[in-house]
Amino acid sequence: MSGWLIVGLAGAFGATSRHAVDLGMRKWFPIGPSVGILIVNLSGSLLLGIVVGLSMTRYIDRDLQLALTVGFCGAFTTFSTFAAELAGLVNDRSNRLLVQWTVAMVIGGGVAAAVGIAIGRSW
Amino acid sequence: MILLRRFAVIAVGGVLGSWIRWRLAVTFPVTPETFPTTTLVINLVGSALIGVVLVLSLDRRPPKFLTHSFVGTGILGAFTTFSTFTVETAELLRGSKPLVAAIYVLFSVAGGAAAAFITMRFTRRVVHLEVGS
Repeated sequence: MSGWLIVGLAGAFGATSRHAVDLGMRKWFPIGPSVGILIVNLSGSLLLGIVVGLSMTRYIDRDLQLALTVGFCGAFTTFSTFAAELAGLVNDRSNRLLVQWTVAMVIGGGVAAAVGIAIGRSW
Repeated sequence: MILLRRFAVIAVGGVLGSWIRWRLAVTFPVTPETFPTTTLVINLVGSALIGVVLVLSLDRRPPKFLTHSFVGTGILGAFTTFSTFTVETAELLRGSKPLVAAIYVLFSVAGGAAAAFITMRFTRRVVHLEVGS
């Protein structure tokens, strides 16, 4: 299959899935930075870690790998919303939440990615 | 219907954002355990653009929700990526490059937040100037 089709379809699925999670979590957490995006970015980091870890020790179909990594995980997770939320917290002078949110996203995402890689490698 | 239309524009935006990120990653590949310049530039550019898009869509009266969904959630949401950022950071740490990893995280997070903050301020100022004149 063509790379354009694979990345396009998986990217569309990733972006709409992200919005679905964001919308769903807004019902539970209507104010403040998006808990949905936190969940999306952490779970996406875990999934990408698993795929990257798996590909270190065994063969994965190239098309499937492209769909999961560049397509789905790439579009499912997002950096721009995170950056805009941090900018908003700076603007509101919500310093405590700014630090908490940065730590949750960055440390949480890093740990999720590392755990994913470890799981993938030892599968 | 409104919800369906919103998901449709996010899907189309997701295709476009993913394509651009993919072609950039193919054109400027980053060798493992070196500084991930491509992802950094993608995330900083996307963070700067989201500041402009947010002001031009959601600050409007009435707000342009569909524009925000298409360009913000769809294109820029899919163009920028968090998972590649975290996996690259984990790989740098696993490859005993803690300093490179720390610089990468700092540039991405502080740089991304600063980029969005500055473009939001700048765009608000320009838009308000136009409204005032």
